[in-house]
Amino acid sequence: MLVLSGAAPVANEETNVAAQTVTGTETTVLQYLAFSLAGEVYAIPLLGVKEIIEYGGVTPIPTMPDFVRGVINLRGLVVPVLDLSARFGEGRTQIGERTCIIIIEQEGRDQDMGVVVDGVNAVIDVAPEDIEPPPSFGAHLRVDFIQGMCKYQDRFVVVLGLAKVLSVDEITQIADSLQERDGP
Amino acid sequence: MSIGFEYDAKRNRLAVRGELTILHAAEALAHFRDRPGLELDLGEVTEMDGAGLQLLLATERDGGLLVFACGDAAAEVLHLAGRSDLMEAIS
Amino acid sequence: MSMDLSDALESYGIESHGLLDQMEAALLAMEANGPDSESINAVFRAAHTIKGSGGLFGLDDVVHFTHDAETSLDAVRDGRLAMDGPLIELFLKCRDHMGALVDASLVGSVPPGLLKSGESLQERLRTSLGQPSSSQADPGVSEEEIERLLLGVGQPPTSQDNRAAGEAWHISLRCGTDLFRDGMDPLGILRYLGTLGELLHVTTLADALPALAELDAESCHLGFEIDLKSALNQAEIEDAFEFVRAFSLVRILPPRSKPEQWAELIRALPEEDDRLGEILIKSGALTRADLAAALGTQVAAGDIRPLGDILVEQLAPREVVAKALEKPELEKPARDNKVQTERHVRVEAGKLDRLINLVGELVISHTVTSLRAEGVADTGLIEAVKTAGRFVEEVRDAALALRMVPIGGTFVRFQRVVRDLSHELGKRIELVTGGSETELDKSVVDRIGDPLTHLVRNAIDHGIESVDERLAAGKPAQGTLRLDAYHESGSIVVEVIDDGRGLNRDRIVAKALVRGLIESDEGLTDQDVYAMIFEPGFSTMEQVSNISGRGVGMDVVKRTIEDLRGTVEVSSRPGAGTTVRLRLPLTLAIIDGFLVAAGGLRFVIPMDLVEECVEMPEPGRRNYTDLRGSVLPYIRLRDLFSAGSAEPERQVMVVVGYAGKRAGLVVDRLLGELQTVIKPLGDIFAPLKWVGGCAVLDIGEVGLVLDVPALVAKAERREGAALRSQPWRGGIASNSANRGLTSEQKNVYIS
Repeated sequence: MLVLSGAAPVANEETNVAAQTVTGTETTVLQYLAFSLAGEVYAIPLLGVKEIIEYGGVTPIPTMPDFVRGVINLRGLVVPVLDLSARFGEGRTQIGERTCIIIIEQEGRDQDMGVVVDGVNAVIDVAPEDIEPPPSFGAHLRVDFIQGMCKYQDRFVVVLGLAKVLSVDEITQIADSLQERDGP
Repeated sequence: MSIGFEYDAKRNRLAVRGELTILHAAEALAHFRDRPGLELDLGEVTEMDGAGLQLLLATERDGGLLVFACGDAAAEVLHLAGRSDLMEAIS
Repeated sequence: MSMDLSDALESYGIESHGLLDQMEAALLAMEANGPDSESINAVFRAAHTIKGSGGLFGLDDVVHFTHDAETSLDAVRDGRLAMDGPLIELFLKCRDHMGALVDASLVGSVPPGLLKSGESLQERLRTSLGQPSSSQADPGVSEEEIERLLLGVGQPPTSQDNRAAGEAWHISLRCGTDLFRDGMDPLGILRYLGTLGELLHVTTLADALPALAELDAESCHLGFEIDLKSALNQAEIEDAFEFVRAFSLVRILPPRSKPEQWAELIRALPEEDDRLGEILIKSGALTRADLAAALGTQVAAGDIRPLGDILVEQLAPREVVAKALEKPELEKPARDNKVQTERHVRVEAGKLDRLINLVGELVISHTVTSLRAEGVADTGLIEAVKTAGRFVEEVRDAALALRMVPIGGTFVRFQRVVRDLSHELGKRIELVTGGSETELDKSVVDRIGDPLTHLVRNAIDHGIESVDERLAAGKPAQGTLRLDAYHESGSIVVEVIDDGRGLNRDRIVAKALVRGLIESDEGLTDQDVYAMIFEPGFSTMEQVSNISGRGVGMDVVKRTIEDLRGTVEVSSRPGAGTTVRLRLPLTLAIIDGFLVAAGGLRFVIPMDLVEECVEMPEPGRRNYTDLRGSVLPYIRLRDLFSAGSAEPERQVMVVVGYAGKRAGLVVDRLLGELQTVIKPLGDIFAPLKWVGGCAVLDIGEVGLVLDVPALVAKAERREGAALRSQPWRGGIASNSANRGLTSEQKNVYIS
């Protein structure tokens, strides 16, 4: 049972009562969080989602790539915030009323990471056998960003491979290359 | 590196083999419990430490104990602890 | 079943290495100044404790080897063996071997090769003692040998007058419940005591054992009354209990103790007086008359409580007495350890970090509280907040001090490096250290060891000349290597100074040309040339020696120091020597900062670096200005943003100074001083060298803590890159005359 932290405003009611892995009578069901971004719906594994907060209070950090929106202070902890849309090379997210930040636990690291999305849709249950492999082309997204495809409201949506999307090594490399170019 | 037990219910005799040490103390305790007047064969004990000694003393105090066979390892410990008297039954 | 032995073993490892360091220091001191009884005792005690504690953990290889070393040391203490040069050399080797044995034993088994080399050392120890070189199967437990070694020797110089042959020490031990779980065995202590002398009598007490039905077999409830005949002194016997005393009750009575002392002992032990009395009589420690005298004693020595209290305590049930004794018993180890120099508590680093983080939060929230309080016209509240502030500050300082360690401990290690290397190379070198008491963060100390080692080796290998060469150059035969540490404007400076031949400009240039690092040395200052030795793959020695000069190292030194956000400088005078200067941040988690705003962001500049604030002059095309007659280059913090809001009409410049450099930082607004906690910004921001971290300023606000030297270096590099067609040139104008302004001199205007 995943408890979304109540200390921060929760953007969407549906996410409030999200069971992690529902072990039914016999079958195991995987759970994903569906969210929208620039008119598209994506999914990420619910495992690792710590909380969802309203967008705000982001301090920009100069000389970082444009997909790094900055950092927020989450109850005394500093959390970097990425703009997923910019990370996909599709321009920065327009901040609207439903814009929120999904706080994601990073495996093997102390620091969490936040991603900006246009809105959270739902928690969806998927049987493992219903996850399709990513198409070899046509998704208009780096193939290594896609973990697989799953059905949501009768449409295939991309399940993001967070390891690559949030890869600290890759982001560091990009930031490093910007250091000699930008700034005083 | 292990411990083994053999209990003769008829004579209330327990033979302990191997390491009567902290690593197996919890396991050994189960064999010592609720057996008043237990007769112990420590002849094949290869190693014994303070935890093992403590087990013997607790057993002796609660229900009485008779050591009727004792190997070098156990004898050294009992001697060191000043409890050679536990081995008196061995002729 | 889970048994976690690793903690106790790990602390044994750390403790042992601490003792080995003391041993080494004492040996080196004797090598320099000749033997003295204090140093000999220090060496003996170190070996003795390592052996004793090793026995407790069943590390037989350590015990056997150390036993032989101890035997020889005992002969030295006794005057039967002279502590001369070759013997010191041998003991230094033994010390290293003990360290290797401890390390190997802790991770598992000792490799046969190590045992083999130990045997040859043991052989040499025996030869030095003039003993037949028969290797004994079990050197630890031969009864006659121990009698001869431990009782036959004369009294050590520090021994007290309170023991006589034929009389015994009385030791009471009540084991702590976690003893087994910590990987220890009280029987190990008994066996070890047996090697210190003769165990006259041991009574094992099962009184504290719960009923079999309730017994937790992994908790230890044993108690022992021990009578030991030994020629050792109190401190040496106490060492046997080094690892159990913190959680167990240990009482040691010297031979011929007075009735009051016995009375105190009986009162201190949890068992009832009568029961204890019988045990003591039965074991032969006391006669019935002694016991009567002891129990009849109404007031123990030094006891100032009313008589009634003592009687109540004597009559009270066991639990009550045990309870009453709890506190004094906890304090006791501290008191008894006066013999040792310092008393330490080892704390897991993570716990310390957590404490410091919390203190940081406390500092922040107190700042917020006091700001709010000032807004309310309540003098009582303001007064109360101020009082709290004083304590917050003290708590902060105390918490930070926990992580600060003097650098001396690191410096001392180099005595051995210098000694061994100079012997090996046939050079004569003296190591002089200064500023050993300078404190810096433990995490920094841990990481500068390797770079320092490299610099020291380099100085000995390449810097300081051979005796002949030095004499020919009219220098003293003995070279000097200095390690110095001191504070300077918010940083710690560590210097490695040698009086050797100095860097050879021509050779460095030639090498740099070959390596393609430069195209010509035209226009390069000596400083520029020397700085190239830190380039990757640079090594000027034609012949690679096995000490340094492998072409790796100096660049690694630089990288390590830069990773710590420090800098490396080198200066040299041909024929006179070389100085390498490492400048390191204090890396305190909490700093006094100066808050500024630029381009909608807030920045924190470390207060130590701020010299003054001036009105921004009319901006020109070039980023420098005239500050009272000297050139001051400046950086616009706004330039960090590729596109920002419109520049405000008036800007302010904060003048910062460090390491003899000065620069201006142009900002939009000054927001004043604050005390803040530096938090790491996160892994993905690591490339931003100019950010030292961030500070949570108020609810929701994050400010960037500037790493000024890195920011300036960044500006230098960019300028350098832009002017690549120009002769190789770097660095902003520096004005060393301006360094060292005191805080009183700082002129801080807040607009």
